[in-house]
Amino acid sequence: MGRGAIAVAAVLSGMGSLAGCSTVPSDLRIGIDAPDGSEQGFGPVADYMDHRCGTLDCHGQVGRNLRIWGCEGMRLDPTDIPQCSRQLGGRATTPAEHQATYRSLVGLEPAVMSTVVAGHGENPELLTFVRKARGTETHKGGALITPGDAQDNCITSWLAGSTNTMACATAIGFPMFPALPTDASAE
Amino acid sequence: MTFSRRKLATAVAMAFTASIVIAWPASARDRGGKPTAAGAQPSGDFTHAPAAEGQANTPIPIYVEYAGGEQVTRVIVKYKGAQMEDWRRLDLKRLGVGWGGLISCGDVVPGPMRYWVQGFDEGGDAVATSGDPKDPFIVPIVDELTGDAPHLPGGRPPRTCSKGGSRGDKGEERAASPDTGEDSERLERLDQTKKRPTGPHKGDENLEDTASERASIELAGYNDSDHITVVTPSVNMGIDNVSGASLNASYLVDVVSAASVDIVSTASRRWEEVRQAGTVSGLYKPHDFGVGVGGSVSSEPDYLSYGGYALIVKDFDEKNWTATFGFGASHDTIGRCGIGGGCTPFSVFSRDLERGAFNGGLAFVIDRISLGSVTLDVVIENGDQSKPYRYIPMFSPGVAPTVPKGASIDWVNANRLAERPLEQLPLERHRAALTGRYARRLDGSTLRLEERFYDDDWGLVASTTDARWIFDLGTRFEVWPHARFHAQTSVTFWQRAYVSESSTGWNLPEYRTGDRELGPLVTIGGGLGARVYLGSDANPQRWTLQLTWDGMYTSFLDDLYVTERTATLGALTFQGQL
Repeated sequence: MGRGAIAVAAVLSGMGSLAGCSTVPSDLRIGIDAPDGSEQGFGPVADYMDHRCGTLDCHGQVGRNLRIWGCEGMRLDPTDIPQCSRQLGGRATTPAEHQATYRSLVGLEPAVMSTVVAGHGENPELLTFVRKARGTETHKGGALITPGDAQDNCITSWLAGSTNTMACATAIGFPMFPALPTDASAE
Repeated sequence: MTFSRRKLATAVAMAFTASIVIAWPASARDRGGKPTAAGAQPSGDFTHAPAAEGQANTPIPIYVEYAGGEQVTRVIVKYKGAQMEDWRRLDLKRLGVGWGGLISCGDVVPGPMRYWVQGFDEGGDAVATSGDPKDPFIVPIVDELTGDAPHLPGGRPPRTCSKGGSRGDKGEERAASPDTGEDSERLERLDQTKKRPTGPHKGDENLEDTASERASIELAGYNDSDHITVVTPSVNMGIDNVSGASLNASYLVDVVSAASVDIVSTASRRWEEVRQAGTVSGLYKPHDFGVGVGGSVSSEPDYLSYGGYALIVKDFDEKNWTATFGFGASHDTIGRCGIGGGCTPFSVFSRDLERGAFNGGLAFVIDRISLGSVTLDVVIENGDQSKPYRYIPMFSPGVAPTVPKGASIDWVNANRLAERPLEQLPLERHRAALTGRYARRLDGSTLRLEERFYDDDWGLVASTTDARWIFDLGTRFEVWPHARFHAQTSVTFWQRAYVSESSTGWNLPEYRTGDRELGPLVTIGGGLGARVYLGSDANPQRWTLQLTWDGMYTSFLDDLYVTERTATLGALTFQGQL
């Protein structure tokens, strides 16, 4: 085989050692530097999102990665109907539904959410759901909000740590999306 | 959306059968290609009929033909005359349907002339051989022939050199054999063309074209039980020059249609996509050392990849050993598209993945009918290669142990927690694979075996075994069964049901995946292949039609949604030498 082949074998061995690194641990856990999840802090945001994004043919579906619960769409209690009006047999969105929406929304991108919150909401567009809502990223539902409008302020103020309840109240006046039933299922 | 980058590598058979038709006295030539020279001569991949004898101080013509399944682009003869201490090499040239050359008269002295033949593919790998240093062909060199003088096919015997003719003195050899056969002259002209400066010269129109071109087109298809269909037309072109240079290029299109469970589970619908990929590579290996470079580009709406590589090839021990070292680097940009076909610009959302790949290999001749090789690949990846579409369902600590293998989409949606984070894979990966190949020429068939061991620092360990047995059915038809077995463990962070500890705020698994290719699985596959040579009787391999079909069954041992997958893969290839 000769010295040449021995040298080759030595190089191969050295290359093999490149891959001989420690294995990735199996049980690493992370938390999230999460925005306010209280009724005061997130409730208005959740109500706006239920109205704007949570219809039964959009994010008001259990199959969605981003699930939104509320009285205008998917209910947490199967005995509830998608109706907010008591007169019509419904009931308002419950705190448990707000909390479920919160878990779904905040849990989508744990690391990115931590980054945004740690930055006091300075770069909300790092979050996919903000980009989709603004239309800067492809979204089946299209561009729903404009940076700086009430809807946008509702969300970004929450991410910044101080929910602008007035903006959220104004935002909920925007029409439900989609205005008419279509097969447009938002992603 | 990113198709899982499933390689539609067609199950191209790799056979190495061969034949030599020797340029020896016509009366000694056996149409069946069997040696007819006196004494026990070696057999091998090349059909071979050594001459009964050669005349001293006279060039010995050697002509071979190759009818095997490998793409032999270069053939050499190693020879050693009676007064030579070392083996010398003679590069054979394309000649008609075969290869031919002349052993210089200066090396042809009384006594035994030993030689053996090797064939190499475009990558410089020895893929065919007849004889070896320990068991060479032997032709007695005598002062006066007792029979017909050997000659190249259709040509006249070369003339005896003038006294003092020395090895490599082409001018003297040429002067001494002005009346050699037509093919001999052609060979000598080829040598002369290599010595000439480049550029047009008067009379060049009479020179042989020293390059051989080939091209192929292929249509491949893949379909599986997870509702993924891929159709891949492709075209390949290559050119080889007798000086040892080769250039290759390929282009393919993947047309993907998918409605896999991974898509449906996120309430999305079928999507279709087109991927285009091109490669170009070159290799220059005039003697026992060569260098090669190449590059590739692949583009699909949400994925862009480009890369390049360089390699060196070195032969040792009279080409009984060939070593290859290479390094490649690539850059991938991973983006995201929507269901409707619109894509987010990379400037808005993208992830980068850098990849460096080292490759080292040894190919060796085991004996005159067996070849082997060992290859080590090491790949280092840096970047976030998590799928931007893949969200991972989370379960409570109480529910997770109850999640059944193959749990349906409805079951998962009904029992998972609200949070469903994006897939997150480690940002670095070190991968290594050791591959061994063995090929043995049997009587009327060729057996090829391959074993590959894989390991990485994500904890995935895999073994892939591949076997192919190629049978010759006459000179124009080959057929082969193919079998493949693959088994792998999961990555360390693989979970069928990941747990989110919601009772204490946020407590999620840092690494989480739903990529079944990272989970434990077993795949069994098999199929058939057939190749027909459609060229003329003189050169049947000029046109080749090949059909392969493989079926695969995969059992996913610890997964959501699906527990098994069946798939079929077929390819129809038409190749020609231009």
